[in-house]
Amino acid sequence: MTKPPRAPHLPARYTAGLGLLLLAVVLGRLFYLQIIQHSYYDFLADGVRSRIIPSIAPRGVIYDRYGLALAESKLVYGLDVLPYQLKNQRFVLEFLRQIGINTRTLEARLRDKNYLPYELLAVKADLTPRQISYIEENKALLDGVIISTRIVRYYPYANEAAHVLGYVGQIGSAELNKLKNYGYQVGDIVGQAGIERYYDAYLRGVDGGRALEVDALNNPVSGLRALEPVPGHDVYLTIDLALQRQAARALGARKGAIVILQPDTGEVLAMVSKPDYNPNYFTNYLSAAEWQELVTQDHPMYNRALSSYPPGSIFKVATMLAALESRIDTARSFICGGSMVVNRRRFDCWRAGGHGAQNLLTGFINSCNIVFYNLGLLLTPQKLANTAAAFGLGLSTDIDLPFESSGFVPTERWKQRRYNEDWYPGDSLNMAIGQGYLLTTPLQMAALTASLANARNRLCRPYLLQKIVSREGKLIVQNKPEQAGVLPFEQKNIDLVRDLLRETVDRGTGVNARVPGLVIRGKTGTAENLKKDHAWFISYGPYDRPDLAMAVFVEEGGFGGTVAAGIARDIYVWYDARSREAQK
Amino acid sequence: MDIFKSGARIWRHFDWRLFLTALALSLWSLLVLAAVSSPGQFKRQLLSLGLGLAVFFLATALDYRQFKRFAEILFGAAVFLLLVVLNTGHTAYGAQRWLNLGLFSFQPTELLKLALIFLLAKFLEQKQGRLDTLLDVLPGFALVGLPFFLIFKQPDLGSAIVLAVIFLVMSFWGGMRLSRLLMLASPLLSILALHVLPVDPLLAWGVYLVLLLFCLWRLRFPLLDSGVYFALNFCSGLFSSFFWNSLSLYQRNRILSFINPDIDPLARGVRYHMTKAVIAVGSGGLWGKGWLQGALTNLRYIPQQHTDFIFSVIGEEFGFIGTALSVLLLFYLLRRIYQIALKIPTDFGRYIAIGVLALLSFQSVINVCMNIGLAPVVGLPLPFISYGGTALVMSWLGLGLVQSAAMHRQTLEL
Repeated sequence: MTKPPRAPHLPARYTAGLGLLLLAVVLGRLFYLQIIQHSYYDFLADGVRSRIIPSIAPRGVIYDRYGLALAESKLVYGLDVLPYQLKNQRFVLEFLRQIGINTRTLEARLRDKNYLPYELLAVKADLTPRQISYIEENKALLDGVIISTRIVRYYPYANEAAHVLGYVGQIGSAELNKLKNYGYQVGDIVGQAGIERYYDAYLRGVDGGRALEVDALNNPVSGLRALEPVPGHDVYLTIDLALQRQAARALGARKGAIVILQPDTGEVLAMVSKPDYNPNYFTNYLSAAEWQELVTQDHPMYNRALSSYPPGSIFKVATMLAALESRIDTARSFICGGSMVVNRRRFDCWRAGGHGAQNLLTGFINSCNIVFYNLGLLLTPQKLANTAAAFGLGLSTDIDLPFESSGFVPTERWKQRRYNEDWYPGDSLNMAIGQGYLLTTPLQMAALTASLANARNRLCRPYLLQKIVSREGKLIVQNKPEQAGVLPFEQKNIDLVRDLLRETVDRGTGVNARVPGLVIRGKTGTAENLKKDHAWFISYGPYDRPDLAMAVFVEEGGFGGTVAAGIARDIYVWYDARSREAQK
Repeated sequence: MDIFKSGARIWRHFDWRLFLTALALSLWSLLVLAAVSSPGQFKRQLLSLGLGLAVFFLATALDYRQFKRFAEILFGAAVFLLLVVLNTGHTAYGAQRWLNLGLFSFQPTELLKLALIFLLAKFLEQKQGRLDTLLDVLPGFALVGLPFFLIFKQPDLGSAIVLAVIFLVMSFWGGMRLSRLLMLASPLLSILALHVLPVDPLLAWGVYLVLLLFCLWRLRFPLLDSGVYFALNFCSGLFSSFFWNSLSLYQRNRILSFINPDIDPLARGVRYHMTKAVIAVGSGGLWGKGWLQGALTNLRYIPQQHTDFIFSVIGEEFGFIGTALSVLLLFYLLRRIYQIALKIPTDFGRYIAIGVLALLSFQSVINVCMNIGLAPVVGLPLPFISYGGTALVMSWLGLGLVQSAAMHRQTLEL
């Protein structure tokens, strides 16, 4: 097996030479880099101390329809720490605690290996003037502590219209992947919800920056290059802030939503969702208490005006129109004994004792379920679905807000596909009174109301944007109401429903909304819910030629005629008073 | 045990210079790592060194020839572990390389390098220097091909190239003609021509294929061999996008920007590592900034400065004195392995020593060159110095095999 060693052959001759050659190259290169070019590289190593100071473009301002600033940019003094300059870390941390700054996150990050020592750590976004002066006085002892100015988003009216405006925050990684080709970068502050999100491309500007050379103490030595930031465009909304606040006040501490539209144009004058939140929280680093406030069971971040709920009796407006269009005799009489049985299932009227003899008209005014159950049996399910679709139910309204629910209008075919079941008469009964599978959003119901309120029967397309104007005053976008077609119903039927809506408020279930001297038309609704029923009231007024069309929705609010109608009345009364004031 | 039978007599042949040089490098590494690694990492490296020394002495004491019959099993096990790590392994720096074993994690790639050396040595010994026809070469080629492909897919470009280099160097030593060696390596050139050269890829490839045909004709290969080599080149060219794209973006960019610096003129993206490493080395000067005093090192400005870029730390903190000393120590160690290899009486043992030499020297050269801007950043550790337990233990094991081959000279009584 073992053989005598062979004489070094060809490879052996190469190996020694190659080794020496490589050694010479490496040593030569090291000599060149470390001895000959040493001063050059030493200079470059100092270049670590040149720093790019970004200057963030201020976001555009969001105004209401009368020019009140709802969201603006504010200059604040923040506290940053540059870890590698911290000479006396324990002293600095103790000092910061003494002046009331929470250092827990900072301490964790100083220990965390993922944060590099030359990366600025943001500690607090909004220093009080006292804190600033404490730090300035002791600056000599606080190496590595930096007071930085930055522009943050500020919502002067805090919770008001929070769901419309949305809030801003650092861009998420999923969004960044989608948007990085449009100039979005890691760490960018972008709109996360509402108008801030929907019109982010207009509101955000183009960031600038300065390249600075700083000495060992981080003081700027010379400015090298500068790029001026370009501020974002200003957005004017259709929101009427005073009306918005009044609506929020009327809803009070209840959960729910109010949407108020201008019936001629579809402009959204107010959109309230309760409970709400303070968008200013997102500007600063959230405290634990603030975070707790946002993650309660009531979901304050959730815009209820754009979420789906069963409409209940307010849907009887559509059922009624379907019946009139199908030429069902309005004088036809039904006996309401409090309940009726179809296919061995009992269906109740909301009034336990029953309404007695009711025709279509009194049945509408009193919101008698028995009348509408019968209409449900007389009408085909397709007719009901078509009528709902004519008002745009089951489709999103395409309002300029993100995350809008489209609601749902069931059909025979859908039920067949989804549950592999036939459409039962019971399904028609439920749908006729706005129950069952049917779902609508407060915004959709407000739009339905505005369509009925429109003098020319125009279908309402709600929108929030009035115009977008650049910082120099140049008009970028001017929004106009969209021409969305007219209600496909006979004029006499529409007129009859309008009269019935007035009767409902004057002497029917909506009497709580009645105000002497004002013309208010409306329909109450009580949507069955597992816990407590939802209360609805859709209405328009307060004059014969209506200024407002609104939907009031109170989650688990009980009987619609009691709670929701009262809220609407308060808003009309306030609106009328303001109009009179304005005329004086 | 009969493997200890030769007793203390063999220890007279123990090569102290080899051992002490490697030990000096390991201790030097600990000094440097103290500046850049976390306490946990330092402790782990210390443990790895202890384990490495134990493995070294064990391998030295045992007769390496006893294990020749396990070469295939060892190689198979290493490939299996590699497959496991590809499917379940824990990811770091964008590639799946580590197998988590609870107490410690383990890099099968490092084991595979030694297993390949062992099996190739056995294969070449059987060939007795006859590597003249394609049929002689192909089994060895297949042997390296599978793990090459697996490691390439991790994607760990550096280690894949190390395997190829081990194969080429050992085959060369085993008697293969230089021309055939070049032809075996040529499919890689085909890929490079299509993807890396900063000219029209199809034109470059066309020119390359014509050149290849010319070489095949000039070198008077048999027609069948020429056909196979050309086909290999053609196929690797056709599927080059598949190979090239299985590298991650940063790896591709590092290679591209090394050849064509215009891709990243400000060195903010893909050339970032290398440029910063060169700056750190250059700023060290003659004497360096002093231990623990390197500004760039302390700012952790160069990522992976405890593994791939540890040489830049030496450069900054210990200056030219430190780098030259490290390079000379490494050179001396490699030269020593080479000298020992020449004296090893068995083909099997000598091939092992040459394989270990190829492994350690290629990694040393590429790593140092990466740190001084002479080679693209492909992610190879500096033997005995970079942080990394598996690599350290395997390097010591490699030295142990060399020692064993040098010491166990008498005929084995089987």
